Amino acid sequence: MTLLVSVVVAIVFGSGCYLLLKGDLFRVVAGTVLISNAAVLTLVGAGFTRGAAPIRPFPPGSEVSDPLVQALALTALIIGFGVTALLLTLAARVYASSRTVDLDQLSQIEATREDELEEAEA
Amino acid sequence: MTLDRRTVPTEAPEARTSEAGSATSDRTGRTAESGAAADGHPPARPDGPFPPAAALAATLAALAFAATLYAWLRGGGSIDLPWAPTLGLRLHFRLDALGALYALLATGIGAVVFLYSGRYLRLHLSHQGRPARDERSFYAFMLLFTVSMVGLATAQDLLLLFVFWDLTAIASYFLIGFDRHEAASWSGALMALLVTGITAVLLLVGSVMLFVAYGTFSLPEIIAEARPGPALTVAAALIALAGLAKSAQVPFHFWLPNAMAAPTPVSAYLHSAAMVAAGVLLIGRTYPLLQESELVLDGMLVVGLASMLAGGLIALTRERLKQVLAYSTVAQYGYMVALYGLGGAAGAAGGAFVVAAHALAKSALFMVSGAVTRASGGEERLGRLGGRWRTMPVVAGAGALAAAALAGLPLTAGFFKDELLFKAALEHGPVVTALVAAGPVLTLAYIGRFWGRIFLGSPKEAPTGPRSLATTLVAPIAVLALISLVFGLWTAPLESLAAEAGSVSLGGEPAGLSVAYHLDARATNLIALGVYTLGGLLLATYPRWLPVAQAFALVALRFGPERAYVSSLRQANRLSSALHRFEVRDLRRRVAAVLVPCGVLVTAGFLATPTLGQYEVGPLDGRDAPLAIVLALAAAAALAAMAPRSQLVLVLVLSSAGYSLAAVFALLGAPDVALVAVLVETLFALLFVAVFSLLPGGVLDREQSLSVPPSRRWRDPLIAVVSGLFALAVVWGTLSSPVPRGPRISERLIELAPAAHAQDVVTAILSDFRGLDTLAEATVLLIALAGVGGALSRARSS
Amino acid sequence: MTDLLFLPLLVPWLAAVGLVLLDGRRPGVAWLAVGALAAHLAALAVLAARVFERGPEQAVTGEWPAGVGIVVRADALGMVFALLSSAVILAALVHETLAGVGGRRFPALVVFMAAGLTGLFLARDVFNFYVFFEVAMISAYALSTYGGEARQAGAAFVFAVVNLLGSFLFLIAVAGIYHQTGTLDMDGVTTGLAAAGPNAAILIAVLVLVAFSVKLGLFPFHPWLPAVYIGARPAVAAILAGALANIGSYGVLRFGADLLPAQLRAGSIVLVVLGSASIVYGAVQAIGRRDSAEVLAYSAIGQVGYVLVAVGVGGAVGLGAAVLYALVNGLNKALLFLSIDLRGWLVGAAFAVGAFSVVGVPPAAGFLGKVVMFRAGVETGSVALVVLIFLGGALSFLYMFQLYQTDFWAGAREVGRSAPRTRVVVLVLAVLVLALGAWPEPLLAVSRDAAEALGPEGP
Repeated sequence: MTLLVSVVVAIVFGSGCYLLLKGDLFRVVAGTVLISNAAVLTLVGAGFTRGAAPIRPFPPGSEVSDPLVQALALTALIIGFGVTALLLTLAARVYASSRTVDLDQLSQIEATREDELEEAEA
Repeated sequence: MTLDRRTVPTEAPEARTSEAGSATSDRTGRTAESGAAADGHPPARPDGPFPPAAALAATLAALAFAATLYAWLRGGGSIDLPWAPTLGLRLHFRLDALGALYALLATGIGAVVFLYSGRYLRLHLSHQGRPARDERSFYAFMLLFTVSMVGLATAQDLLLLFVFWDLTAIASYFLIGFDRHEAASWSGALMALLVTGITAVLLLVGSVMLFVAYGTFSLPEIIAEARPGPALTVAAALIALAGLAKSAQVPFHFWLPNAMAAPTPVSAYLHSAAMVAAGVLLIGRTYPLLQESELVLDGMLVVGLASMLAGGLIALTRERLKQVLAYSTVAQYGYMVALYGLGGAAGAAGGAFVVAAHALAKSALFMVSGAVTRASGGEERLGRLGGRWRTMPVVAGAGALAAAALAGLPLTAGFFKDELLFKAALEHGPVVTALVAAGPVLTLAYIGRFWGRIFLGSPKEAPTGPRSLATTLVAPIAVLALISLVFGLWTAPLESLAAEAGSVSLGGEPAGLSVAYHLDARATNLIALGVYTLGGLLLATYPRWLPVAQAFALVALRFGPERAYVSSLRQANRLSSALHRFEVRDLRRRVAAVLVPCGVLVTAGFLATPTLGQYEVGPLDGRDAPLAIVLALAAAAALAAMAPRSQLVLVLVLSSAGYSLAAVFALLGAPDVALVAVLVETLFALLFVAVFSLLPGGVLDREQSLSVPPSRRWRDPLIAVVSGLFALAVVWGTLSSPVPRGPRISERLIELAPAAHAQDVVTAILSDFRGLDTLAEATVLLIALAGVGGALSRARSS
Repeated sequence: MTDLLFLPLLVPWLAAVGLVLLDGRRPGVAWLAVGALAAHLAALAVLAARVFERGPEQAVTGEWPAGVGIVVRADALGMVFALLSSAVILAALVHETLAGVGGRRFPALVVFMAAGLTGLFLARDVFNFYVFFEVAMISAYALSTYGGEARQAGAAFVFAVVNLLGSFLFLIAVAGIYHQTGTLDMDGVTTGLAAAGPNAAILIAVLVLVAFSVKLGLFPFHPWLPAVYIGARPAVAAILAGALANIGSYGVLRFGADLLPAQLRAGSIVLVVLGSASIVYGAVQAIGRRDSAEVLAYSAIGQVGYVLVAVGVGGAVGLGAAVLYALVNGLNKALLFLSIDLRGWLVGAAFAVGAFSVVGVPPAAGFLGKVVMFRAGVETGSVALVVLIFLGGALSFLYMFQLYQTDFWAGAREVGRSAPRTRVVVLVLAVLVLALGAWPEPLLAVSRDAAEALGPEGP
């Protein structure tokens, strides 16, 4: 079970990283969503017990799932959502001002601006 | 222009020192520029009443001189206050003989130079078309320097010493850069700061080494404790290096000639008499530690001799007045360093004596050069001067006295500085004596040439400056020259002060110093006679020797340390530019810059620790089949997210990964998480779609069809695989047991949940046990909302 | 007692929630935010004074047993970083308020960040640390778009993506910590990790190190940093470099020396190597840059290297040096970044004070940083380390004064003069830097106390 969860985390995390390395704004945001999911899954997987939902009254005879990791996962999910939503709007704003989703073009713009800055100073 | 100045921090030395340089025209060219930048203030007038700032500065310095003298005559005294008890630092000052000597020099010569500056600076500013108010910063830094120098002379704590040491460098830096529009000031100031500032760090390192060894920064305590050994030798050598650099000794000497870009009063004060003397002061102050090591003493002797000879030779070839004097300063401080290197009572006391004798003479000579230049419309080349004794006889007379003192002629204090040197050298055999005697020979020749080409012969060009010089430009020269003469005749005061200062340097041992004229055939007298003869001969025939000296100067400048400095600055800038071309500028590599090193570090951690038995597969039985299937689904969806070309498909795949994970949470007994996960995934999908609707159709798919360069075709997946692998190692490694021995907090939470009045333990945790987390989490959402609102409104408006 | 413990957190929090509804471009609103931050700083100062006098203060939320509730603790280390960060944030906010706030939400975001940082420095619970960390980070992401230029959105995007990656790595480490120790309370975590498997513990340590290195902008994790600092408004750059980067220094100290001391000792060579690389790389890059913000950005990369090296050296001397260096560096960067848009000779003087502080010339406070660094280096007996610190200092001389002279002697910044009120903050900071150098006892004492707060690595 531990191995299974770990492998899935690794796959989700790796896919997220692959998307981060992609050349367009929105795939990068998608990658962040995946990595966030990987972290939340790790949190849930860090629980010590597995079983019924930790809601009273507990079903007799079965173990109760670790409630703490669930609380942490909830908090992390919502934080991840907030941050990623902000990232998405940032991406939209970048697109709106530069009219491209291609990050290579964006870094070109950045480099040009830096060079201009240097020339202006010199 | 700026770019050139930065990458070429100083003009090529041969260009700057070339005899046919067109510095004058350059200077007038810049005058207009700097005048225009003067914020509409009228330029300074060369005449008018004596500037009050100068009068104030001179008065303050004179009062400080009187106070120091009074305190010293009353037996010195000390101040000792706590400063930073954590490091045992104390504000410990003591006016001992060594401190008194340097404090008197700093305040006394300071007062005289401030008097001289009053008129000089107005002339200087008016020549450059700058307003008179520019002089305020000049006096502020000059006074700062005086105060720092007195502090430096009396400080007994190494860190306190370091503070004042750098304060003098700060004052020097801003004063060299006083004419900040001039390229020479720009590079000269930077050079002086870099050389003296960076070598000052050696003083700090040496001090910290002593602190670590003896547990204190207090110099008297360290001296009492110090035992010879390699650590002490290294610390002493570092401190000596800092001193040598400050005293402009080979190979650090080159900053001094370039510091001549400062107005002449600065050269007459800081860069001949006081700041350069700080190096020798440091050597004298830490001498009880330095003399524990023969190596350090021998090193100082070698450096002193080299500076003496190289400085003297180059001084013989210089054409600009202040350049002659600057190289002469290098050579003269070589005397003192060599004396300290020779060691013993003669060396320590002699060093102190020479400092004073030299300071008086050299300061006067700098003021001579300033007066001559000002009286000649800014002309500062020996070849264009000549016959000036007719127009400025007093300056010529005082200059002759000062030159005689520098050359060590009898009846001046300078005579004894040579005699002390010979006496100390004689104890070390004929070779050292011969080398040492070469210094005064060169001195006689270059200073004779200097004086003669200014004042004798016939004027090359008609003087264009003011017909007569103000009294305040002439009197200070005369005062210093006369003091030099007085101390040549009445030797007692200087002799006793130097002897006591030498005794401080020897850690309290008495340092006998007998200074008197003896009309007999003793060795020192014979050497002196030989020096006068050879020096006179050299002076008479120097045009014949000049090519030799010039060749030496050319080689020294072209391959010497100055060139090394210039080219290392240039190389550093070039290296930086080259490195900057490799600097990452796109997001992909910025992300890779996190993932790849992280993978490397995880691998290192993985390899460095035992892994056998640390990883466990974990229990898995038939009951878990649904869970395994959903997990596999999530993984498959995540993998699928890498493929789609259409962004809408991507969003769908992404959502299915999220929903699969929600199912996983539900199966793991976490219904709350599952519910929120569904909610969050749904919101995400909606947000994505909403954002895409803002973009024109087709743009996403079109941009995605861009071809991927072949270099990236393998690299990106590789990095992704590496990331997945290190994630696997970390997650598997940390989620495997060992199950903690102590009680798990989750058990307590389940127990205590009823006390928090909740049936759902997760709710109890979120709302009560860890309510602070939930509050902060809500804050994150609030900030995100604020940020989203702001970003969207701006996106719409643009 | 606990009232005062939560006050520095509560004040900015409530103020920010109120401020977010108001238009920050109205001067009254901005001054309201300044007032709130000043009150927050005062509360923090009172708390800190008590902590330095009587030792740490602790409380558990809801008065539950420690671990069940969240433990909040004010100790010397946290107080030092909280005071520094809040002071820098306040300085930046006052600066921007005097110059005129250009964004509706700017004051609220700044106050939110102060709240987030304070919560983080007070947290004695690893997950609570993470949550406040995100409060501070998301404020920073939103702040980094402030200034309005199109390019800035791109930089903010880069900033957010790279730092989010770091945050999620940290979250994975938190999950690992919980599974290995069964608790989130730092005291329990410390004992738990000491008993945990060596492999798991070292992997957690690696993730934590990577996460904080990203925040610090340490080489080779640094490439996001220049992009963000260069186009940012001076006030934002000052906040990022002078306040937000403290998360990294504090995190390395807290998680390294406090929670994972054995792993810190084992990996000290890694820290020293990474720090050294950063010192040299940042300095060399800075030499050739022309624009002030660029030079300062690379200087920031170099300067945090010293902190990491000092932590790597460890022991009372090394950790004290790390705290002191981080403090002085925070002040330097705030002073220098805030001066970027200003001109005039007074600004030049203030900039020079900052430059002397960066290179370690007294009486500017930076020289104390050099003193303690050299002490740490000499005590390890490593010649290479001493040479490295010397070399880093020498290179910083070159880039700082090339910049100073270009800007104030030969460049655009020497002509003209900024409105007097916009210069106030910079001048106050310059005087502060000078005063702390001239009277070094407070800095030395608090950094010693802060290092002593660090469990087993302390003296």
